[in-house]
Amino acid sequence: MRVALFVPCYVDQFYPQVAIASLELLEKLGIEVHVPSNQTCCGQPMANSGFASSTEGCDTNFFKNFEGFDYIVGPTGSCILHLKEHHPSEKIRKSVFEICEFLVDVLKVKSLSANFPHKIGLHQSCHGQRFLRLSSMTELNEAPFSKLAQLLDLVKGVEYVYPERADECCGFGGTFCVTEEAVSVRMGQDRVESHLKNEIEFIVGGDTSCLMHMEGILKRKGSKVQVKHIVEILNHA
Amino acid sequence: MLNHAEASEKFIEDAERTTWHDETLWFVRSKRDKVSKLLPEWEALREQASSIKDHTLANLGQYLEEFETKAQKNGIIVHWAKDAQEHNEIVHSIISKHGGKALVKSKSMLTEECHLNEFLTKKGVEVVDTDLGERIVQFRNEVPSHIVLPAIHLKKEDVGETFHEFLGTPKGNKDPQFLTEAARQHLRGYFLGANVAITGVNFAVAETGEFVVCTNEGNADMGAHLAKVHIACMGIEKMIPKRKDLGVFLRLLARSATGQLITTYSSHFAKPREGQEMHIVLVDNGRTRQLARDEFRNSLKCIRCAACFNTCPVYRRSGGHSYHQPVAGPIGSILAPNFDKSANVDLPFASTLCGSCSNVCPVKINIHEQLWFWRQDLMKEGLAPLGKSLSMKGMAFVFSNPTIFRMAGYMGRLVMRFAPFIVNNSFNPWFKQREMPDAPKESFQSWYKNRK
Amino acid sequence: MSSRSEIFGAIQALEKREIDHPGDFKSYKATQDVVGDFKNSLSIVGAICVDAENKQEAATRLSEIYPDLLRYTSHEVVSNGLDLEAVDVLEIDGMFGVAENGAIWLSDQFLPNRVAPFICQHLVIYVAKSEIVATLHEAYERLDGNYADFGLFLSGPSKTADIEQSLVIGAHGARSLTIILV
Ligand code: SF4
Repeated sequence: MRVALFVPCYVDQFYPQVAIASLELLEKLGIEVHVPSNQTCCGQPMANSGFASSTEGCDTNFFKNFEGFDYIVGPTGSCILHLKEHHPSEKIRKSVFEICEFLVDVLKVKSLSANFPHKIGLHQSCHGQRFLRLSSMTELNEAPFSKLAQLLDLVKGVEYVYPERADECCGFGGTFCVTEEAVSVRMGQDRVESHLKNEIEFIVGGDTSCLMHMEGILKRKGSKVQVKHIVEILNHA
Repeated sequence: MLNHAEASEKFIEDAERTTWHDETLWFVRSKRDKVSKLLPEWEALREQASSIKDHTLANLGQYLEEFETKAQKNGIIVHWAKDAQEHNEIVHSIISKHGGKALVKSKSMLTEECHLNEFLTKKGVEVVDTDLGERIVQFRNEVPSHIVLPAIHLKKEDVGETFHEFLGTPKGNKDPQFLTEAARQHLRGYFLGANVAITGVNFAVAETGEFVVCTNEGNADMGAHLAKVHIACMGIEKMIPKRKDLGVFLRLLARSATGQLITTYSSHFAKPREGQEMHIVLVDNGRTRQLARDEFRNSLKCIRCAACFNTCPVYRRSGGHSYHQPVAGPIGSILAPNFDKSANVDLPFASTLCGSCSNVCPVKINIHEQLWFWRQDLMKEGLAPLGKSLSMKGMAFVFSNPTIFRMAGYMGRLVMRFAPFIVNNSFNPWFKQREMPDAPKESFQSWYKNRK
Repeated sequence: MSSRSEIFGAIQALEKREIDHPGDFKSYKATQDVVGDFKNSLSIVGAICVDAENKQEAATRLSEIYPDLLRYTSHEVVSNGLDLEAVDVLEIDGMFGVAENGAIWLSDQFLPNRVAPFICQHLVIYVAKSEIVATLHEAYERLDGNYADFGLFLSGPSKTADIEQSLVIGAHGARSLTIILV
């Protein structure tokens, strides 16, 4: 199986540790991981702003970098969703996987050597949850499940809790975070507060963009609580 | 007029009221969750409702014709209006035929959409909204901020003051029970005296030519059964094929809207009572235009339950008036551009596309996808502010050129590490209330290169 | 061109799409205890429920619930030409009840006139225990072929929560609803 790691643009630039953890985790599980060096962005920032018509160059570049792989795995639900829904190539659409989805559904991981003796608040981001179906949704009448929680259950020492309104959006929303600054921040503050009520040490999620937004709010507040991508926990020795 | 972002910013300035608004509507959503989970067939019911509406929209012409024939046979007078103007004129001509000077009206989002009150008031007809929430906002010269809970933006203190001014209730009295009683007494007089009553329509049944109106207060019935003339106004999308289909929709409507098992009154009007005149005005006003659009046709399935409002994290924190449209919330944001693209270009962007709306929608409208489609449509039409389209072009250019991309990111990180004050200022909306991420020493790609 | 033909013209101009009606909905499982469920729903929607063996017992209970008020039956209202606005308590018959939501089907046939159940101050409805169906689907089955000129499902007393979402009973319609199960 030929596996490529897709590292979204802002993860590459601002959260390299998330990409590193993804790489190391997959390697620990015995996967040979390729990292195409000319990859940039999935095109979502443009498409969600109404400029899907301008993503052609971006899509072509993505295709050039990733067409040769069976699985394209990335640590951020939102970008993966965009590719699954909107990339012009069917081959690409079918081979992209969010990393937790890949671990649970493809690799069927049953054990991990990770250890993370902390209390964390689990933030299940909307795109991963509602559209990639990484977990059940409170709006629907369905049996509860969560692929993220399933993976955390394999980590020694970690205690995870959900905030009140378990799947309320954090307010990042791509360019929404600046075009609708007031609402975005208020949503983020509310989300952060409901996590803090649980006296956690970390807010952990699967979408780096949501984490960046909440991190910005936590830091402005002067909170000691940090954000971490779930792969950082799953890869933590 | 303020756009959604500006109006929301103002709304949020009152942090406490925003909290209240958010929590109150969340509570309504929770009630909806609770009752929907008591029905094992909930998801199947949604699917059924959605399929019935799909079928109806695909055969709308046939069902409208059937409805018209049956309704006429039942003794109802049927009118057709292609737009808001014509709708208003039809209603006015019926009223003037009966020499009406005042009329009672129960909730109808269609008449809000057509701005009927304004039209009639200019013609010298006094319109009395009889739904409590609508009466409150009418006194205050405002518009409803929510299609099911019209006065949800107000606190009881506000209502107390308004009633003190208009109904002479004691100053400072803000007891909901007391204020509701005052409205009851005030409106009874109008019910007993009105010649004409206007109601909305929740469902129109092609098979029988009857229409169904749902309320909790009983105001639609009080009006319709006392007045000599009953005018029911409806958009042509309110059609359903058969009476039995009502079972599906009535099971979903109230549970989705307020978490009730059913509205207190679900009244089926088939024939006028003796001596009464009953009219139905069927209105297009852009609906056939929407019907022709594959991406947006689905929006016509809406049964106006407002579940999408209550669940929307943006709506809850920005209030209905920030949408500057008679129908606010997620559904309003996909209906509004059909009326006027450039005036409503902000609305499809007033969303994080979290998708919660589509999940609660009892008729399974893909609301968040339609928001996305409208974004594409509006930008294609060149309705983007100049700065935005330039920066998008820039972004597209950078992301399609890996070398430039690495340069741009590298420069960005450099700037942030060595001169954070350059980006950390109020010209950057991110930074106003959030810190920027720490700039790492190197990107992943350069780390990866060195690792090998 | 008339607006009617304009609207139909616009619809006919659309590409034809074949989408079938999904057929009638079958509810998942019929409840075992419709009367129990019905009573439970009545308490949720804020109605008073009285189990009565006979008319006599019903009358006794009603005078306890509405001690100082005059009660009229539908028949009395019509034959005495009463002004409904003045009627404190109106007693009528319902055709059947719906267990899942506490609704009762009323129609022209059972009402002195259409406004009666709305305009009276308090409403009493008699329903037979044998006449309770489980869900609205069964309710419409029952109504199949029975096309009243006017009919309604009535569930609970009139209410509103338009002021700060606090529930107030007695908006415009009846201030209380008592269901007599016979
Ligand atoms: S779009 Fe769906 S959820 Fe929103 S009001 Fe309409 S029917 Fe209700």
